[in-house]
Amino acid sequence: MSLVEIEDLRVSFRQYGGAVDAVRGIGFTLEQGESLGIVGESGSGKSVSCSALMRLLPATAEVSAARLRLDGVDVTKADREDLVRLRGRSAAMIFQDPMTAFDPVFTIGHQICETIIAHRGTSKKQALDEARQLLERVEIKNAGDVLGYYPHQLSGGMLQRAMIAMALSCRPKLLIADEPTTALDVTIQAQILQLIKDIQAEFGMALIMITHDLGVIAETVDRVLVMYQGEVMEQGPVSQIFDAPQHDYTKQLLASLHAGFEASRGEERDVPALELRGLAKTYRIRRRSGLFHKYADFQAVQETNIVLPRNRIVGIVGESGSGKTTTGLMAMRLTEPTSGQILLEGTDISGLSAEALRPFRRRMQIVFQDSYSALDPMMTLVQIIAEPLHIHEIGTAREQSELALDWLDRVGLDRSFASRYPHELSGGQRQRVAIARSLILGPSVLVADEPTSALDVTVKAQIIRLLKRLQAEMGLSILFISHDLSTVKSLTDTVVVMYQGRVVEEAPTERIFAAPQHPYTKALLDAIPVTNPRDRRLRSFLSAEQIAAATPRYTTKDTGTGPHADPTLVGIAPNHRVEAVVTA
Amino acid sequence: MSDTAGSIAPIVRQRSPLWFAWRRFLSNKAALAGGIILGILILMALFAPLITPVPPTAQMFLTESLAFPSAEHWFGVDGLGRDFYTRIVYGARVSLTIGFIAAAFSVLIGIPLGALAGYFGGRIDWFIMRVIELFSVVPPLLAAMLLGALTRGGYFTIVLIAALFGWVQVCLLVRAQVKSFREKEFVRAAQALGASPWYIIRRHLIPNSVSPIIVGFVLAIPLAMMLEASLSFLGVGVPPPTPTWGQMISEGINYMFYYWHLALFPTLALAITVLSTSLFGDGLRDALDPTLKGR
Amino acid sequence: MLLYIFRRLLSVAVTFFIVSVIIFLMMHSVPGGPFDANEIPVSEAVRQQLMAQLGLDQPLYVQYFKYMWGVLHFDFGVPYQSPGETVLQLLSRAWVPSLILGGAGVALGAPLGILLGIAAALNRNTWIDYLASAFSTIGLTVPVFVISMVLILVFAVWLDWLPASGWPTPDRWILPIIAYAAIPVATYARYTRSAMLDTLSRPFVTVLRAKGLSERRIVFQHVLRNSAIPLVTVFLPMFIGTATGSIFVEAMFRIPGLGAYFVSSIELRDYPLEMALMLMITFMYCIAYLLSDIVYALINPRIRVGGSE
Repeated sequence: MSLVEIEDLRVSFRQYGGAVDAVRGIGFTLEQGESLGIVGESGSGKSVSCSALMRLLPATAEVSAARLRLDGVDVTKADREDLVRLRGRSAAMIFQDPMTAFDPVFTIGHQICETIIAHRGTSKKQALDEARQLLERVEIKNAGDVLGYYPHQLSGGMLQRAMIAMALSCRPKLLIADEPTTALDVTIQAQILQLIKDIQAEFGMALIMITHDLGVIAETVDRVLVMYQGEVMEQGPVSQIFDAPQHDYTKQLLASLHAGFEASRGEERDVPALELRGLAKTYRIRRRSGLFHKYADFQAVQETNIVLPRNRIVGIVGESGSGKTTTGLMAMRLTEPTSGQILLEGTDISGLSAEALRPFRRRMQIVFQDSYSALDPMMTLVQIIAEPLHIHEIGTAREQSELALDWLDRVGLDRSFASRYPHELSGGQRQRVAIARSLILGPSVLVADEPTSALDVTVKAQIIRLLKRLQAEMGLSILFISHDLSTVKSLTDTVVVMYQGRVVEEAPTERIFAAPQHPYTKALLDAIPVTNPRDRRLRSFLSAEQIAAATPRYTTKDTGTGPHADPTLVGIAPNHRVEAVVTA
Repeated sequence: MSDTAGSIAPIVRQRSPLWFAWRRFLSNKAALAGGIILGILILMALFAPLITPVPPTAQMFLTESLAFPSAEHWFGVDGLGRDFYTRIVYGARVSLTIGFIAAAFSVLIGIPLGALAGYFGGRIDWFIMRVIELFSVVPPLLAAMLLGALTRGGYFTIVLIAALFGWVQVCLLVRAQVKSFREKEFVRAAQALGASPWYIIRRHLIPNSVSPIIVGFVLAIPLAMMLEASLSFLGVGVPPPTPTWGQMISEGINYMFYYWHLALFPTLALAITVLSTSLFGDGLRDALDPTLKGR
Repeated sequence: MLLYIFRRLLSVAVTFFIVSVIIFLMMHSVPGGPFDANEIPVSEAVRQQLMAQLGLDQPLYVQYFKYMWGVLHFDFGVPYQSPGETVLQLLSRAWVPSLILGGAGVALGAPLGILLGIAAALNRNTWIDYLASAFSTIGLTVPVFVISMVLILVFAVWLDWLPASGWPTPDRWILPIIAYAAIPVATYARYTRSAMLDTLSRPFVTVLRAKGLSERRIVFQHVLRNSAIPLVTVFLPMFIGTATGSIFVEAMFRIPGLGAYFVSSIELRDYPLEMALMLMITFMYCIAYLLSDIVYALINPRIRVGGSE
């Protein structure tokens, strides 16, 4: 008998006067110890199916199935006691956002223990003991202390580890991981994936890995189920899906993985479009000390020099907290830099007043990550796209909307969308509107702050292509900010890697991928999920101290500069700079 | 594969966020009923002279003083020989006008202060929040009574007092909305386009605060009506002979055991008006902003 | 944690100071002092003398500090309406009925409201939910004197089950207690319901279900504990509602409590009594405010333990 048997599962959600079909007759089975990946974009029904298996759907969901069995129990007919046995013991779940997955008013230890006690009836002391061992197993070093911590005291990566420990606490036969790495930084993502893989092998559990990321699938599972709009498109062994995809949708997904380099055309002129000279941002942090406040300085961005040549795309890559977004916002003068200069086509705009800055604003624009909050919900698309013209008082109202309509075309949206509101669009469509708004004034510089990271894979590829096309048409220079090296691969000419508020390496894209020098760059590259299951490998992860210790060393002969005892950015090849120690 | 996304262009009627709010509102029976009753009350107040037999202060039925409800006098006659139905209808005028005018003043004070506090934050926000804190430790009704007593009441005094304590709610609602929206990326985008703070407040933040403003306005109405009734009840509100429900209830207590109608009708009138306005306001809030639900 | 309490204490003290100054100024700025020529006819000379005797000719800030100094020693002066005793004596007499009735009202109403709110949240869109909504809407919007009036009309006038007013015997306390309880029931029912619904929709509840805890345990341990945090902040408005309500309840049921004296002090322009009552009530509010802040911090680990940010 299989561990999971699903046949003709249908789920629909009741809404105002109607129902939305989320899952339309899917079926699969899973054996003990087997690992299955379910891949699909948001709204494809992949999470809903697994929630149905655990009976975790809200009351508005209507579930029907010819067969829905977990560990020999018919889930549709399960009573309270069956459910308690199924959940936690037969199957455990890990969720996407570890920050909201723990009850904020209880300690981590309490929450793991209560699971153990509820299922196995052990004593409090035994449970605590076991919880500590579990935390150690998921590679949390100070496990004893973490037991007494509240969720808000831990980072996302640590919480996800604790979540895994909690899931393991009752030795489940099946582990369901619902996008377990999406909310985490790239390097942490790879660590968590590896941990899940190790633990699955060690405990002999079956695994269902739900994800939108084919790379994650290639890394972790034996068998794949591709879902699209509530239906199964195809399923099979992971190698078959990657090597011989049958369905068009699968092919699209795979195509987005294998993007090649493509340099921007157009001549590069002397004066760069945008140059950041010694740009730095320091925040004063207020700390409470007794009755009064103490101030401490926090360097969000240390003195940074970045050059964006005309007609080129430069990527800034780094994880959250690396200062990449702050740098982008400073370049746009949306955040005031503490020191340094911003040269827009040779003019320093860092000291200009808001009034003096206005004409320059026409020449530089920005696109944000969250396409939903980037559009005013009360305005129609034409109003949104025409807003820049409105602010700068260009043309009559009629001319403004004519131009806005043209731009709808240019970003690949139908003109009939003109009087729609943002909530009626998909994420990708909204991002197209945001791009149209930022380009309607014909700027020469565009800062793109993670414009694709909230989008589904196939849509992401479309937006990247759109940006690339518009860049070529308009001769744009783009500063592309991303947390993910694989995203910038096909788009940028040069990559700047930021780490803890400073630039640690900068090189032409191809060279960064071929010959990374800085340990952090290497770690980032190593964390990119493989694009083919055959390339799976064991990874080693570096801690912050290890990265600091592995700072590259060069001699003065290599660099042609004087010796530096402190790590400094030095040029080691044409256009390739790396943070290194230079000895004599 | 092309990079066009709009190839499928289903022809749907364009629906603004307000349309969905309207749908949600219609599906809320209690709120709809509240709105309809409130509408009827407003009409009654507007056309009071047309639907009442005599002027409200005319003591035309002295011989029938304290008469019980009858076909002639639907709600009976009061102690001074006035038709009680007429007085109740005219009472709606006082209650509703005070409610609406005070709510309007609350909104007029609350919007700019809330927008300032929410948009600029920092010291301005700190100062406005401290002022609000002062208001929160002073019980509005007691302070209003004190003010009412010191100034000897009167129609406009009541309106001002109600506005003085009504703006806090509006201010907090607007502040919260502006605060959450000023962090949104479309505001950042407008800043990146060189828009002035004033432009952003006017074109983005105020339109997006329409929901809390409407809600704040409607919910300020019953509060003001309650305040007026309470003050009139204690004799420091709108002075006689203007017919107000609070006053009538206060007089009604004295007759309660024998002439119950004098206590019952103003009580019911006040309860129904305040309740329907609140239900209407609650319904509007739930419809306009699902995230504020139940607060 | 102690530091947090101390800082809150300081801020509440400042608030209290400002409010007391405002009240004091308000009392002294309006025309119509106790010896207004047209109300109590006294000669100009006598008036001057009286003013001097009472310190009313001194600058306002001197008067204020003198007054507050007296307040610190529980000296609120002598009420005009009952010159035979001090304000303090009058207040200590008037406290009793208000405390008994109001206390009983809150003690009954708050738990009842919380239970109603829980029941409503767990049985959403059923008759319990609608009943709770109806109760809370009525209790929160309809003035207390209207509720009292309905109670009297129904139970005393028509059904004639209970006496309508007065203080001497406990059977006369029942209706006022019900009237007092209306506000706590309404506030707690509404806020408990919304806090519970809010917590129930948070992702960690799904996680708790997924790990196989029983629904009872989830609700009574996790959801209630989380919902209690926002509920603490309701303590203050409920307290305000009840205290304000006392004026009307006592006026309706003719009970000689604090609320009744507040009304008479306003009607008779009894400044010493009025001032004392306002100060006392504001003081109680400040205490309630402070207490709710402290309890909030105690049950919220984010404040108690501090963040890692």
